[in-house]
Amino acid sequence: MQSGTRCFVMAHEKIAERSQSLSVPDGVRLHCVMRGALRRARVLLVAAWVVFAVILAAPTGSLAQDARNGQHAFKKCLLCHVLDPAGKDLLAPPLNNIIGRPAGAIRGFEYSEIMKTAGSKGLVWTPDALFYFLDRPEEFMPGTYMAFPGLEEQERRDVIAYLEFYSRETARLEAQKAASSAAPSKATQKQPSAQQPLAQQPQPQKQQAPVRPSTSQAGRTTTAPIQQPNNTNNR
Amino acid sequence: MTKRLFSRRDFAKLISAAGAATLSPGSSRAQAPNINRGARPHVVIIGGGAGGGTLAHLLRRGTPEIDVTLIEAQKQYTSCFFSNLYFSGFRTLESLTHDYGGLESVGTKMIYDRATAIDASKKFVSTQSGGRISYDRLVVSPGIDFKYESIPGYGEAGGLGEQAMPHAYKAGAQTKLLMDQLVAMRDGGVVVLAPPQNPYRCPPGPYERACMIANYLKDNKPKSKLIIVDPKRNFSKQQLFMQAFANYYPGIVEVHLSTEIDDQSIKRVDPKTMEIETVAGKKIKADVANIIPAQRAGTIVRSAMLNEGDWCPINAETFGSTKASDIFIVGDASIAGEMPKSAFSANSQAKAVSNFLEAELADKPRYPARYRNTCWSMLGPEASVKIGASYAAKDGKVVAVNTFVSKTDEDDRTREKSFKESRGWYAGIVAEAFNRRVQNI
Repeated sequence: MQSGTRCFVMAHEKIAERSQSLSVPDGVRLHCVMRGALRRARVLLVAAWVVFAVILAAPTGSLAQDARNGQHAFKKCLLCHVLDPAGKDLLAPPLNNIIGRPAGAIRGFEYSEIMKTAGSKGLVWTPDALFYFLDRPEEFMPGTYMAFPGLEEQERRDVIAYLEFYSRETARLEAQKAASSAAPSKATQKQPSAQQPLAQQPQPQKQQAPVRPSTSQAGRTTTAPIQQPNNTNNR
Repeated sequence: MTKRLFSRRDFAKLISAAGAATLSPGSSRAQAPNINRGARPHVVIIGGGAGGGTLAHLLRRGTPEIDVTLIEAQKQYTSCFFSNLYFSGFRTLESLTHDYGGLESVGTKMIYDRATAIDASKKFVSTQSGGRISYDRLVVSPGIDFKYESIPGYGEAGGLGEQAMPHAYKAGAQTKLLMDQLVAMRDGGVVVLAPPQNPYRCPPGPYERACMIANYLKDNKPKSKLIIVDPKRNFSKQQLFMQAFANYYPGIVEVHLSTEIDDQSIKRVDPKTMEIETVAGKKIKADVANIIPAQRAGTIVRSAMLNEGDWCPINAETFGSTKASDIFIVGDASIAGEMPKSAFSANSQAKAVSNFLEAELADKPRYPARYRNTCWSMLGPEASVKIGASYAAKDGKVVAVNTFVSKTDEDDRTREKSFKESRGWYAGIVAEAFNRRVQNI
C-alpha cells in the first residue's frame, strides 16, 4: 500500500505534469504549478494533520457531514452523469469509482480531444485533480464537452468527499459480494444509493486507499435499498 | 484518501467537532423559512425554457421535499439555441423540439397555461384559463417579448409584419416560416437581415444566422444576396464573423453597420411591398426579410412591476428580484450585469437560484453563486467559434471573471473542435433543462 504522503505527492505531480504538457491558459498553469509547489512544502505537515484528523474525526463524522452535503451538491452533476456503471444511454461517463480513474477512460464515450489527451498523458482523477477541474472546468481544460459553471471551494470539497465515500462503499460492497458468492445463501447485496440519506450509511473514514475495503466497515451493512439512479426516462 | 480535503479550516473544524460530539449534523443552521409550518414548500416557476426547466429539474432531483409547479404556455419547446442551424439544413426543427415529460417524470407539476398576472403581496399567479396558483417562492423565467414599435410599419404580434417579415427570434412557427420563404425565393433574390438594438437575446445570434442563411444560399441559390442592416456600430465576435462572411460566403453577404454619420436603424418597413428603409436613407426591396425587433422582458413581469424599463433588476448573489420579495428572475428577462442573455446564462443562473431556494426552504448547505456562459456560433459546416466567460457576484453586480474568445484565422481542426463542443453543450443543456437525451445530432 502506498503511504498517504506518497499518494499526495504523486497526485499533485500529475497535476503539475499535466499543466506543463497541455495547452492551458498561462494563468491556470501558473496557478497549478504554484499551488503544487506550495503544497509540496506542506506535505509533511499535512501528513501529520491527517494522522490527527483520523484520530479526532472518527467518532464525530465531520467529514461524513461533508460527504452528506456533497451528496446534495452532487445532484447538480446527476442531471447529466450517473453513478451506475451499467447505465445506458448516458450523456456523460458514470462517476462511481471516478476517484483514481484515468481521465477519458470509459470506452464508448465520445470524449473531447483535450480529455483524451489528458488521459493519455497520465491525468488521473485524484481528489486533487478533481478539485482543480471542478473549479472552472472550461478554464482548466479548454475544449471539454462538460459545459458547467464549476463549484465553489467548499462545494468541491463536499462533492469530492461524497465521491470518495461512494467509491469506497462500492468497492466494499463488491468485495462483500465476491466473498458471498462463495456462500450463495447470503442476503441480497446492496448498493449505496445517491437517493438515500447518508445518515443511514456507514460514515466515511479518512484513510488513503479508497478502493480498499475497510476492515472496520466490513461487518456493517447499509440500510439503503437497492436503487439505481433513475435514467429510465431518458431512453 | 482525502488528501486535498484537509485545510487548516477543516482541521479546526474537526477539533471543534470532537469537542462537541453531541452536536447533531445540521443543527447549527437555524432556519425560519417564511412558509406555513407543516406545509411542503411550494416553488412556482413561470416559463419552461433553459432557465425554468433547469430549475424545475434540479429542485426536484435535489430536494424532493419541495413541490415544484411549472407554468408553461406550450406543450412543446423548440429551442431558439441551435435554431439557426435549421436554415443551413444542419438540424431539423424536430431535433430541437422537446416536451416536458422528462420534467414530469421527476415530479414537476406541469400547468400548460399562460400566466397572466402575479400578485406579489398575496403570493399567487393567475392564468389565462382562470387558474390561481399560490406559491411560497416564485421564479419568473419568461424570456423575451418584442418591442414591435421599434420597427415602424411592422405591426403588432401576429400582424402582417410578423408574417411577411418574420423575426424568427422565438423558435418554432416563426423559424419555419422564414425558412419556407427562403426556399420559395428565386435564385438571385435579396434577403435582408435586420438585427436588433442592444440588449437582446443571444448577441451573436443574428450573425450566426447570417452565416447559416448564406450557407443555404451558397449551396442552393448562389446568385442571391444577404444584406445586413444593423442599428449598431459593432457586434459580438465581429472580426470572426466578418472574416467568415468573406472567406466562406464571398459575394453573398453584405454588411451595413451604423456609423457616427449613418444610422442604419430601420426607419420603416412595408410588409406589403417588402420595402425597408433605414434612417440613413438606404432603401432596399427584399425578397425575404428577417426583421428582428428590439426586445424586453416577457410581458408577465409587468403585472407585478418587476421591471425597471425593459428588464428586471436582480440581486447578483441570488437573482432575487429587487422589486418584490420571494420572487426570482432567471434568464433573458433579468438584468444580469455582464452576463449576456443566453440559454447557458439562464441555465447557470437557475443553478444559483436552486441552491439558494434549497438552503432557504429545505435547510440544505448554501454555496456562493458561480456563473458561466459560453456562446458558440457556427460559421460553416462543422466550423464554430466561441466566446465565453466565468462570472461572479461582486459589489452587487455580476461581473466577468475570465473571458475567452476564439481567434481569427483558426485552422479547420480548431473550428471543428469548437463545433463538437457546442454539440456536446446542446446535449448537456437539453439533459439539464428537459431531462431528455438527444441523440448526438
